[in-house]
Amino acid sequence: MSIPIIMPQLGESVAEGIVVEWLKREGDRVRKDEAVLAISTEKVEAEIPAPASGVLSRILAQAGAIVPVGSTLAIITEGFASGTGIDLGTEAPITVPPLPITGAGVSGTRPERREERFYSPAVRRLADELGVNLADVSGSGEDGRVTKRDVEAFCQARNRKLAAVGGTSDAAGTRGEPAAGSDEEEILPLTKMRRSIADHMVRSLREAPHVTSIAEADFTAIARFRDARRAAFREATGTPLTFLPFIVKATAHLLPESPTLNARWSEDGIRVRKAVHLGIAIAVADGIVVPVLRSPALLSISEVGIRISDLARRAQEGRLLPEELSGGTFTVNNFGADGNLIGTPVLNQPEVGILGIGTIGKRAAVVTHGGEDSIAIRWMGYLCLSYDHRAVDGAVAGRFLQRLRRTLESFNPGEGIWADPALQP
Amino acid sequence: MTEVTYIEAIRQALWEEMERDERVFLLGEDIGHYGGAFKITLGFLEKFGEDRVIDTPIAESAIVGAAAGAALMGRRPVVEMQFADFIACAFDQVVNMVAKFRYRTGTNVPLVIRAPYGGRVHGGPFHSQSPEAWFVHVPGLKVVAPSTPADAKGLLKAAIRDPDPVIYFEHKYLYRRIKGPIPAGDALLPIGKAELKREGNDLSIITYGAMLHQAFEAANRLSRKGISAAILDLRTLLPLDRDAIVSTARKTGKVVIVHEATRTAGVGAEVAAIVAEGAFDRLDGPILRVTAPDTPVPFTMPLEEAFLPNADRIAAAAERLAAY
Amino acid sequence: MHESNLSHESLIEIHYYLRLTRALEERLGILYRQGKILGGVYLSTGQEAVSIGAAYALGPGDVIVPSHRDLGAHLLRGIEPREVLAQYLGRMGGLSRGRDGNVHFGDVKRGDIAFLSPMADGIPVAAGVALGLRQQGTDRVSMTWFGEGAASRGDFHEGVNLAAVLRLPVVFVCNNNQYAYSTPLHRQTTVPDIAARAAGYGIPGVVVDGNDVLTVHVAAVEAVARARRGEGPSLIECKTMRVRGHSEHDDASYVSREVVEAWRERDPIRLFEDRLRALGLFDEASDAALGRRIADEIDAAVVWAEASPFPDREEVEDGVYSG
Repeated sequence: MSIPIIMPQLGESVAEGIVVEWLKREGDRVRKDEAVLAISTEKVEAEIPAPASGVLSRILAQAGAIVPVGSTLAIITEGFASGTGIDLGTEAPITVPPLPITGAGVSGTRPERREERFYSPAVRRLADELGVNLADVSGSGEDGRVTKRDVEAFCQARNRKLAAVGGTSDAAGTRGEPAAGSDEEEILPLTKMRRSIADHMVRSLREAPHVTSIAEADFTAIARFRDARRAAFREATGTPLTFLPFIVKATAHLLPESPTLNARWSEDGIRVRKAVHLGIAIAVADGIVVPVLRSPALLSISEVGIRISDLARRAQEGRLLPEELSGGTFTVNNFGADGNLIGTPVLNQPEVGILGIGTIGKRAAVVTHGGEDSIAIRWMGYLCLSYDHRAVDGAVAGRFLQRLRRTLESFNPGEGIWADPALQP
Repeated sequence: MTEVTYIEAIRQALWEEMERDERVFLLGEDIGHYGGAFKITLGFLEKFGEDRVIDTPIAESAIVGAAAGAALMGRRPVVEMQFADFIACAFDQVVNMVAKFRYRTGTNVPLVIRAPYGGRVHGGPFHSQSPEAWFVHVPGLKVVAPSTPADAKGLLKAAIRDPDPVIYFEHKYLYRRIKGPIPAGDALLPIGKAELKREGNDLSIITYGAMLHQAFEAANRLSRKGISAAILDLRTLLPLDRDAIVSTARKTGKVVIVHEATRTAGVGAEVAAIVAEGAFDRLDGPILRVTAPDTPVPFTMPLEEAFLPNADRIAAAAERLAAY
Repeated sequence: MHESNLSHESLIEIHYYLRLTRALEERLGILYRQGKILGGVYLSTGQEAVSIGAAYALGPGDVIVPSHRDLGAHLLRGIEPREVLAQYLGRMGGLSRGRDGNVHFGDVKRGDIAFLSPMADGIPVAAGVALGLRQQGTDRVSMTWFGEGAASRGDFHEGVNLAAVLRLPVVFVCNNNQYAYSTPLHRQTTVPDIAARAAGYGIPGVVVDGNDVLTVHVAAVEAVARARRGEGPSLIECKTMRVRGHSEHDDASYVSREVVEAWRERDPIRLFEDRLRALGLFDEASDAALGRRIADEIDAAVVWAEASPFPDREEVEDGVYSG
């Protein structure tokens, strides 16, 4: 509140007076009845006391000014300060806005929100890392919430459907589109597996820079051994003896020497897997599955063969166990079984290496004996290694392939990694 | 390593510190000639004398104020509150004198207030409270709450040697009911450091005091169900070990906070805020608290049982969270 | 007026501190009205003898636990006017470095425990200080002041009782200035003599004229000697009057003007100067000289204090703990 100091009428018929002197300055605190200025009229001189306690906030009539009776000389701003010295302020109180009236002035109702699924921060992060679209994942948590395990399981299931076939990396298709369902074309609806393979292929090729290096290996030693043993092996185990177990075994033993091929890429670093578990691509009715053969380095050739055979059979029958569909660190794809010589396999995300094996068959080759070259009939096959060039360079890939080739070409039954009591003569 | 009870660990800490530093002295009701309500200081008067083991009148406020005055003169007083519930009688001296003195004058007040707290002892509303949150909210104090004999000894010694005022909450239910190994020698523990007492991957139980042992029982049951629970023992409530809290929360993504004190604005609320601030992007479930309800501590057994958190309630909450 | 054994030098020294306290507080009042001091200002005008008479009985190693109207006691412990002014101005040169205001300052090294705002909180603390001094094996004492209003609080009872039971070397000085803010004595207690309570604790309690500095001093000397001899605490009640408001922002219109005027007639400095004049230790010339000397001291102190910096905002969280 503001209290004015008014020029008093000191004496009858006195109409004005002079401000002689201010005893207080602007900004000073004054007490009620304290003398604040001296005035003089024709009749009398007097000191004017403060009409209230507060701050002398504005002096309007300076010393020497002639002022009429009744005019305002100065303003005192009254504070509501407590005697304890806590100043509750000297400004006049402000009116707070009135309370809202219920019912009126409410803005139009907000549109009903579509029910949204809730993903926790941890789940979002995991889905991001694994490249999973959360909308595709069904939830087993409370109220159907998607949990971290759901995301992981979805990812493994998706890997099952990975098509690592020797598809070209050219994903571009023609754009001209005839009218749907016409005489010119028929629409085949997409199965879940087809859609899954499509998603995975696109993503894998988009995210990882694919390069394929190819080496040629001489399988003649293995071929002769196989010829000698295959009948007995089949009789004993009911399983055919193919080239694949030999290649799988050699790969399992050599990958630890090329750790960056047995890894996955992440922004935090190349995550090298300490164990070697090989995914074996198996063609099934409507696509591909990649069951995982765990720690094949610990198995003998025949054990590898038996396991692969079992996995393949159960894959065809759709009887693979969930844990057999995850945990792979590197994939092997024997597309040569379909007669393909060479291929450029697509990586089985999130792995950085995949070995494609072309048809192994008899070819004319140059052999050198005692310094003399000649043409001989040899069992030859191409080893096609596709790798993620973010994590693996050509030299690394090349060295791996050469080691693999040498290991296969130096096959000696019963020795080293090839030791196998079940295959002794 | 020898094994001693929780109460013996406290007694040892007091005795050893009084032998080590002649400035350390005790004040409290019934502590001298009687040896203390819980007999912790039995024998101390005979060994250390009247000047260092002072039997006081019933005057919590004066005891704390006098301890503060003596501390300003370079002494190292250890005040025994007969029950933590009675700290309320000295609350003014604690929060207005002791807590603020260093900040406003630059001179520290090195005193310790020992406060026997906690329930499950049929003590009723005035002898069973867990009032630690009152003091965790006061800047200038330190607050500790050990759960094991080793922690009890190490933290009491640290409190006595600390230049700042420390409120030492000793859980009376644990006095004679638990024992554990204590290392030889000083075995000092740092104030302000929590301890991961159990490793685990699926969720983190963050707790202190007597509830640590309920948490262990719960964790054992959980592990038989394939749920692996980490247990973080806070040990110090002020200052809280933010790094340890955030670290375990980030690792497991699921947190259950357990304390015996009542729910609203308990220390658990502060821990939950720390988790939300530091581990939000790793959280995989809501932050849960298992606490006593917002009531005074009841006396009769069925009510006190219902009031106090226990292994059953902790395990139930953890299981729900694990399945979330 | 009581006789004392004080030398002329001592009398002149007491006079200096009385005048210094009065002048410094007048300057604080002016600074406050100029808006340079924020918050509360609580002056001891007319009560200086209670602080100075009693504090003058202490030795260099003794410790004071003052109340809010004991500026004279602070000055006697060696706190300098410039430190006081910087404290009021909230500057780093003040003893609390801006963390606390007005009279809430002290320095343990100079035997001065910073005033605690809740009335009577200092009483148990003073008892504890005495305990600590005794434990150190000295014969040093503590002295504390409190108002008649503070004596209503539980801490008065607990602290005095504890000191009595433990026979602690502490002197309790009650500044009974008749008013606790707006509460007059008769609404504070039914027994007007606070000293009467001493009997309840088994300690000596005396009533003295709080406006007579030598009377206060003599009583304090005896109480200090008792304490040093190991005979425990004493209670000295000084009757005086609060002739200003509770704080500078309180116009104390609830106090009768006649009562105030009557007590102003008995202003402790004027009474003491009459005494000094009679002893030939005070006249117009020495009055003027002392006035100038003190004014110069305070002027210089104001300059120093106003030049002292404010604390840095970044420091706001510093100093809560030692370690």
